[in-house]
Amino acid sequence: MSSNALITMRDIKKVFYTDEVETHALSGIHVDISQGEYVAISGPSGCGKSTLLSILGLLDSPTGGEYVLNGTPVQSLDANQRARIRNREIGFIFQAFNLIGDLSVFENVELPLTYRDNMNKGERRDRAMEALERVGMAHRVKHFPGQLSGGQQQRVAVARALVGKPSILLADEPTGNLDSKNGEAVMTLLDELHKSGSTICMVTHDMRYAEFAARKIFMFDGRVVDEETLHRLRTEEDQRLRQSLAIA
Amino acid sequence: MRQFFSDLMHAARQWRARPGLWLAIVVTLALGIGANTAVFSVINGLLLRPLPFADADRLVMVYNTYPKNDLEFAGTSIPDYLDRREGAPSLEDLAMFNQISLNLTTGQVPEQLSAARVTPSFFSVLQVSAAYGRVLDDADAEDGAAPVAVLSHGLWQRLYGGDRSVLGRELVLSGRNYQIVGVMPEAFAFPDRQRDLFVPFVFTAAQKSDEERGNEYSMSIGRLKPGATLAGLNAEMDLLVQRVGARLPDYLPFIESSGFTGRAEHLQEFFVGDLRGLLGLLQAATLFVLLIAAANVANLLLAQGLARRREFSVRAAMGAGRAQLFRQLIAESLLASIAGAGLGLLIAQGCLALMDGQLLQRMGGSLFHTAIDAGVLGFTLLVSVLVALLISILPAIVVAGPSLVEGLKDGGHGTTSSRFTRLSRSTLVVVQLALSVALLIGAGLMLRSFDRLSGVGPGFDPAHLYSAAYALNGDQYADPAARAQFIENSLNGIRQIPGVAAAGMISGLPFSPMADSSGTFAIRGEVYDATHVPPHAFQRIIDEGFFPTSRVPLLLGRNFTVADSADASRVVIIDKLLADKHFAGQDPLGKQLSRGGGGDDAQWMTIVGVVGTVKATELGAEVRKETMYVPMRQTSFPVGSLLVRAEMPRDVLTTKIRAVLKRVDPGQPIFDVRTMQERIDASLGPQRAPMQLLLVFAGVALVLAAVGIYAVLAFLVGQRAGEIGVRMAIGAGRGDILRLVLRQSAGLVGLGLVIGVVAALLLARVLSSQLYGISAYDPLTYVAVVILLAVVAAAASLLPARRASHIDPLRALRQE
Repeated sequence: MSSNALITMRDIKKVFYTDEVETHALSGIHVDISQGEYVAISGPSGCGKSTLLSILGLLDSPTGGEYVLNGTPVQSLDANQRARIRNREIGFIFQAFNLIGDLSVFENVELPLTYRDNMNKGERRDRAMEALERVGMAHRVKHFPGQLSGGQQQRVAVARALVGKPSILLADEPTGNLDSKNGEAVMTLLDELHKSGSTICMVTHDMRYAEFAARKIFMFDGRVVDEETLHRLRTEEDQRLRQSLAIA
Repeated sequence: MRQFFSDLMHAARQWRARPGLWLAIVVTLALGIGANTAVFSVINGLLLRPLPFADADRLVMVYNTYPKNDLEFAGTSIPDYLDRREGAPSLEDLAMFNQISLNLTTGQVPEQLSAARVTPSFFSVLQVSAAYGRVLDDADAEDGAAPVAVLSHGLWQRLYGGDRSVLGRELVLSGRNYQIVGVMPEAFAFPDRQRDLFVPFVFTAAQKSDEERGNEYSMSIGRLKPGATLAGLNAEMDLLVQRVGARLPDYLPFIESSGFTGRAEHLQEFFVGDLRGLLGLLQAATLFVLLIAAANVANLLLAQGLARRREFSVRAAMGAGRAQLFRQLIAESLLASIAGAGLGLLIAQGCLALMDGQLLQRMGGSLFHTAIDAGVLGFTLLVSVLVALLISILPAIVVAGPSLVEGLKDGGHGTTSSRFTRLSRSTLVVVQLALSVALLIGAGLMLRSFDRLSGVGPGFDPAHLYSAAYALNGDQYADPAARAQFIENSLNGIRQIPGVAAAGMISGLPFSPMADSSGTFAIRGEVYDATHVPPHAFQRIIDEGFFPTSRVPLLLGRNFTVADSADASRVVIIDKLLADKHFAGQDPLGKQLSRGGGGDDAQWMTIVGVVGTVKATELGAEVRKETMYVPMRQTSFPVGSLLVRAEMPRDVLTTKIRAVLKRVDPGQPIFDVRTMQERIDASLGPQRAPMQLLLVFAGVALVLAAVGIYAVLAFLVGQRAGEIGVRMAIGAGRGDILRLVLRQSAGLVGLGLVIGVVAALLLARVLSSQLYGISAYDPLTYVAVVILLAVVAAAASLLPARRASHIDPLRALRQE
């Protein structure tokens, strides 16, 4: 475990049980993410990267293993404790933006702060405006999500993730619902945030965007692999698939 | 039509696929439609359906009135009847009748029969004939004619098993032989179904004289000529009274001072006119219940409509027009509504049993029927169709609205439609709550009013106090001394029964049909001018046991004793009201009163005591008429009641009293054995029945409102699952989500409560005439209802709120 590690995961396992089938989504993951790092998690569909991100974001619990976030072991916290840590330590950026349609841009951004005790309205306003200015959306505070383009919505979602000054931003396919131009813009924004000191962990299946990150983690079949191994495993899998089709 | 039938078939399949939802909708609608059907059945039976007589709209009750004496209804005397029958051109015919009790002694236990003593015109006025034999004719009513009787169908069946050879046979009643000349049809019942037989009302020459004016113990019923009006008849009766005044100068001052005249009222209005307000109130209450039920069902159908939006979009894409889509929804609603109406008819039967038992008994019994007839069925069908249309409107807008393409694209999760649906559902909940608040406040006020009314003391102690009526109308009781002896012997025997604490007698028992027995009186030494209204009082004949038995408090002076005999100087006991009205600031003891006028022939009675005031007929009515009590040994009347205080079951006591009376006079029956509490309770029937119904309706409204709140919040939570997932992802704890949902509920509930309270305040004036001892703006009731609904709403909100707080954010986000 490195001395400035923000996140330390040891032997993280996740098993889903459906009827009599046991699916190992994560099989002994070891991950460290340091303060200020920009990490991209890549891999084919179904490799477990979103499951890993959910566990990183305390939206889900591992079946086994140890997870320490900012010095706190979090695998055995109750729902309310996890919510409090999510609110203070983690900022989420979703593929589908997930802005609340009935709230204005300002209210959406202010929302995480409303779940904090002892923060007055003035402070909330200042921090929300600051976050909106960082993403270049301060001029749209009274708009509602339905009145914004996809790129604008995602920038507002980034502002919402930033407003609580979290330890880490978790981005799940942040460009998945955007065209290439808006996708590029969002990636540039994340890059700027990283350069200004933010820790970012992004899940993406698009290798072009993974290149924005300083470190890449490759996953295959619930395990972390290096890039070379990933390539080999994918080739082997393709061959197996072709053979089974030929037999059929 | 074939297309609509096809829609109905499709609707049936739809419901078969969702039996739970179908059942919930049918039951909810049944509650609303059933309540409306029940109240409409009563309105139909009492106010809309003609009475069961030919040209019933021409039948009128004719009575005397003394408005300046506060006596609006006073029956009719024989001379008044004769004047009107001969001198009122608006009348086609007029009849007179009263009620008498006759003793039948054919069985082991002497039986009291209730007879209607009627003029022969009674049958022609009502235009009824005998089923067998004949009705009474003029010869039967001549003075000295042989007694004859026409049996009711019920008595004929009971005594003779329907034997037609009964005609011509003799029946011994109270020692006289009556020849049976006819049997009435089974359906005939007037003035009520309690009449066992009909005997002629024979007028003696003395009864036809002017001396008889004022003896108003009979009722009159007339038939207007075609085209004649009530106003015309009333004017003719005014003229007749003026003629009497002109002919009898001594009588004129009384006519002028009392405002005496004759009045007529349509028969139906006479019996049930005063129920109009109450029935209107109940119909309004049931309309509220129906609207609440409809709002609930509309809410369910909205959710259902949203889920079926893709189905309807596909139909539209395949060429279905909006009218066809709407028709499909109507067919589904109609099927549910008609089924709800079917179940509602059963609920209505239950409500009718409650109302029949308590509300209609007072209304001349079988004159009115509250059956569910074709008219009521038509009303129920109409309500069902209207409800079906009402509950189809919102779902129709959602599923067949302007943005069908949206439905095809996302299966109903479009923002426009869901926003409209959210707003609609929230509005429906607010409407439900507001209606429930208004209804609950109405029911609460009625309950508090009834509670106040029940708490009013009648002026005596009704606990363990039994009453039994007697009628000493045989020849052996023609002599007042014989009556007094019978009563004295009976009471002495009853007092010996183990367990009997006290016994006494009274004529004109409070809370009985005889309680109105009253007349004018004079105060010795008072000099009146011609315009003076003579005082009027309830006049009761009692023995010395009455006050100790009933526990009417003696406030001044003494009770009667056996020494107050026919030979002793005449005495009277007055109630506090009489003392306060006529002897304020004086000692009433020793003052003298006489019954009737204070002329030369007045029999002055000395006041020897003052007792507490007793309620006469209704607990809720303020006692405005004073009461005077005279001793039975000095004044006699053949009809009265024995009063017994005893802690034992009614059957046991009745058997023991009958055994005592059998020793005193084996042929003398007692009847109408009831506790005084039962009499008081019966008098509260007209207040209790609507109060109970309103409570039932309010309870239904409360449950429906709770279900509505639950349903809308559950829906909103489902709709907002994704949002809740986002909130949780960015750090909202379970408490935050719980508060979020409860806050939303509080907003709806608060708005509903405010609107409901305002509506109740606006409607309060309508209710005030039905309340006793409580303001229609009673703050306690309003606050209690608001708290009750707030608690119920909170309970109904808690489950969806808890469910929301336990949403798995990951799953919710995936769905989003």
